[in-house]
Amino acid sequence: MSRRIRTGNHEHTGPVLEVEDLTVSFPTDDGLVEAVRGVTWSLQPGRVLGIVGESGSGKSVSANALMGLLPKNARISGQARFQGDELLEMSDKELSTLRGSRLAMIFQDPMTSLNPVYRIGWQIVEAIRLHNDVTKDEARNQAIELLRTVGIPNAEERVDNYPHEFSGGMRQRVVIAIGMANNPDVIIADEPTTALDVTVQAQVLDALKAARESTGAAMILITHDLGVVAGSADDVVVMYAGTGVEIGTVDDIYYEPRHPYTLGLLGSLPRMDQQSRRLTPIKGSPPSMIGIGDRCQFAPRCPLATEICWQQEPPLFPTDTEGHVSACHHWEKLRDVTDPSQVFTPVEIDGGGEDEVVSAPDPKLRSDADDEGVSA
Amino acid sequence: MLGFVIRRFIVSIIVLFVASVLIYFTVTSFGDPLAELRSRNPPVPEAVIEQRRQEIGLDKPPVERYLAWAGDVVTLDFGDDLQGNPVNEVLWRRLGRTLRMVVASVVLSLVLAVGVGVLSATRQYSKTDYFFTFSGFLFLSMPVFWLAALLKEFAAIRFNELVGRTVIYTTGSESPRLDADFWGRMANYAGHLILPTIALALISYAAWSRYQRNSMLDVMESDYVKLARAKGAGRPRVVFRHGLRNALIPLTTIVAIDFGAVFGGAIITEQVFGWSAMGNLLIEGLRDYDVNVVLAWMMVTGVIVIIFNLIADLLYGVLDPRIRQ
Amino acid sequence: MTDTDRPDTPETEDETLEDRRPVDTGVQPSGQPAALTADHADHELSVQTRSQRQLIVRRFLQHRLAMVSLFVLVLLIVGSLVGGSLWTYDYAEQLPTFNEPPTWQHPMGIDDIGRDLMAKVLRGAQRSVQVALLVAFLSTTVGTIIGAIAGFYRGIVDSILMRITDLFLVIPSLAVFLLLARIVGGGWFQLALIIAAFFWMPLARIVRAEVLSLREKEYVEAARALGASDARIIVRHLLPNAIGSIIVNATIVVAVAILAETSLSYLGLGIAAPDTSLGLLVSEGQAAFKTRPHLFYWPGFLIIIIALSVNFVGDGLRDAFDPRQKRVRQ
Repeated sequence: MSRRIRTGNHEHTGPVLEVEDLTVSFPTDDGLVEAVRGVTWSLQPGRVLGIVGESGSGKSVSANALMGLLPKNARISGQARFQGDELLEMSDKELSTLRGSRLAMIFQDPMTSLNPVYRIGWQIVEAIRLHNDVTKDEARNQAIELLRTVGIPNAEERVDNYPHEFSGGMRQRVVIAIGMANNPDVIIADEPTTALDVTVQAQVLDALKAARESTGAAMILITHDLGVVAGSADDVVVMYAGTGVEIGTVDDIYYEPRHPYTLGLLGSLPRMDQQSRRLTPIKGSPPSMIGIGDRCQFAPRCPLATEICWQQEPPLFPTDTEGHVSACHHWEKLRDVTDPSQVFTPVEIDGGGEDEVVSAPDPKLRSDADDEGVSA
Repeated sequence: MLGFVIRRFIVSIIVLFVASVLIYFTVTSFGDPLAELRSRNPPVPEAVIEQRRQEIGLDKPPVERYLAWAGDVVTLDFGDDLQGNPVNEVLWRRLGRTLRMVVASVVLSLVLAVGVGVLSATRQYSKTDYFFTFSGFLFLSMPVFWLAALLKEFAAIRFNELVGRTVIYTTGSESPRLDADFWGRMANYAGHLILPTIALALISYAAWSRYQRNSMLDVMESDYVKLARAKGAGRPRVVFRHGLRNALIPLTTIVAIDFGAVFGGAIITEQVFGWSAMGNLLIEGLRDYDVNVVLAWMMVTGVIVIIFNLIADLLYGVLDPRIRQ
Repeated sequence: MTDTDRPDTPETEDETLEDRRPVDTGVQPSGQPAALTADHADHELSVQTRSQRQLIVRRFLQHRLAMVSLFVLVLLIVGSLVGGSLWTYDYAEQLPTFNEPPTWQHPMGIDDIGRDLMAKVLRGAQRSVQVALLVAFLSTTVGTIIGAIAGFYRGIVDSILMRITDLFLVIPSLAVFLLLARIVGGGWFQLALIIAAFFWMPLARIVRAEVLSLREKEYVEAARALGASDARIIVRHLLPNAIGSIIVNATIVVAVAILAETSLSYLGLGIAAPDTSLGLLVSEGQAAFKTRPHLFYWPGFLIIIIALSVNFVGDGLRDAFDPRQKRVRQ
């Protein structure tokens, strides 16, 4: 993987984007929905930060908060410094000079991200001319060039097509082209491959990589797909119930997870390189984000949960490696774990009797002896 | 695009044909044109009735009668009314008056509806939004004739007293035997037009502004509007170039479909304000069982409705590239 | 958050299904596996719709304007349906006095042929409400049936039904009301039939669209695979999901129908003397506007309040059924 670290067209050194204790909540008829509850991370220039979590874990909401794209009723607090400037204090007008020029965003569903009534070219040209004083013809030539970069064949003809004449994967490339149009310093890709066929996903990831290489932008890659993160990210934030529960490099997270939720996610992932492994799903579902109490939010689903997990929400503890942090009271217990099935119960396979048990949950590790994965 | 236009045009012609058949057989079935002759006292000799019967072609089979009538209608000849005068004599003048009112009110309510729809949607749940929502519901729930009568009794009379002369007229479509230059005539028309237009416009305005508000809200929540913001487009650009441009598409269909309803609704407004226009023509025709008059009204209205549907289809094609193929 | 997420072992599921079983008339003959399983599929749907229903009811009860409107509306409908028979005078009764201003005994006065005007207004309201309710019932039934058939069978059936619907949509209905009223005559029942004949189209389109999208859903596939008949699929699986649109549309129809009836009667082509309706009363009141303006105002107010409260109730129902439309508030 190429890691070309380039500082952008600015003097700033250090992280290009620093998020500290970001909190987002929405008042609703049913109460205050705490979508993001104090997330902290930073993004270094040219690096790719993967944000992983289930739907509803607050990963998209936090990204939209940075871009100022949340509905007006959202209550946002905390800090988000983009090259030293506080994003959360900017007016919409100030933000709109950054959006599209230095901060770009790519959305989940390419079928709905492009305006159906304008030609592809018009939409790219718009992105260019909003921030650059160039003629329409110049912008159009740039647009064609951008389309080539993201791998659209016949770019000089396709530029005059409407979005409905493109397939989903092609549309997502157009959105990527729009995102990279002004050589941004940060590209936020919010589930860029989720809505696409598996075969197309790889192509879109390639287009993203091309965009990153040609602009030198750092990227935030939001996804629920650990496979996508493994292939593209340098650092990873694992989010659960609105907060980052484990942060580390991609190797830390994959090979030395120190949070049972991360472990559980890895156990739910089918892997080609480990033939005999059985999947170990996390039982239960994420908590409702209304009226969250002071406890580890993962406790109801966690086989390791003990009394303290129900009494106190764990802060981020530093672990063995520098920069690798975990919000688990029992992170040290995970040092000895080499396989998710030591903690989580593997799925039952029907008709099994003959298949040998690879490994069983280790009773010493687990706080409960039953298979429910729920402790009261 | 040309193929699209031609296709739509052919469909319109077919619809018009079907409509004419339906109209002809419904209307001719509802009254006996000879009833008046038969009921005369002293009784009219049977021979005279029979002669009249042949004169107006009632002895021929219905299909043949329809073809004869349709042939005339194609050349814009709607036949004679019961008094023996050509229907055309009054039809076109009255149509002009009604169209004046209907077009003015459609334009007025469209402009208001789009403006208010956008305003309410961009300020959802603000006081402005609540005000327009409530007033919209109020207009939707108000009988036209009642509102029209109120406007007539209060707005017009008060206003005229205020300015000290009659600017707003409450009766008729123009002053009889008006002797004025072009501008005088226009002012007179406008003075007569203003109240009926408002009365007629408020109902469709209320429905359309609700519609436009919802359609605008949907569009403003769409991903492509979000992308436009993510590109760094400013608020006006996001609202108008991206939001309104898309939110207008569904409204065109609604307006076209409702054009017929506004045209029909004009019947009431014309009655309240004493206009001698299409509405009156229909009501009189129905009262007297004047088949040719009713047929003429129906056909003219049908053609107008179909033309507006065609226009809406074409506009839809112009506004939405997805439809064009 | 509770039952739906539970791991589904067959025994527990059956138990919960029994517990939450809504009023279910469809008792299936046992011994027919296909029918039994189709029934089972129904249950899954019912569980879902039931908790959904509770949510909707709760959302509606929280809608203050809609609740107030519902109260006013029920009061007005009951009042107008039975008010006439409770009132001292009959609308057709000729009193010995004429042309009297309002008094305590005759709160709206007496008209020029000796009839109590309060009784007339009550009678008018009754007629108008009767027509509106009947129109809503008829047009909802017709619209639902046509929409469901068009959406379910698609193809040529759909094309024919939808072209007919389009045709009805573009016809200026008021003109056709006038024409038909002239042919059929002006009893309140006939009038309701005529108006209903032109109010079913929007609902037919809505139901068709919903059925079109719902019929592709997995649970419909499942029900079909399990041998459920077309009628059963439509009634048990498709229409319950369109019920929100159907109810909301029915309320709108009540509001529009009351305006249509009063307009026709105002033009003298709807309900005719000696019977009366709110529209006819406004028309009479307008003639005497200078001397007795309250006769113009009151029937008008009644029309507006009925239509307005129906519209507000409909709006509350729409919010309750489709919370997507109603965004979280500040």
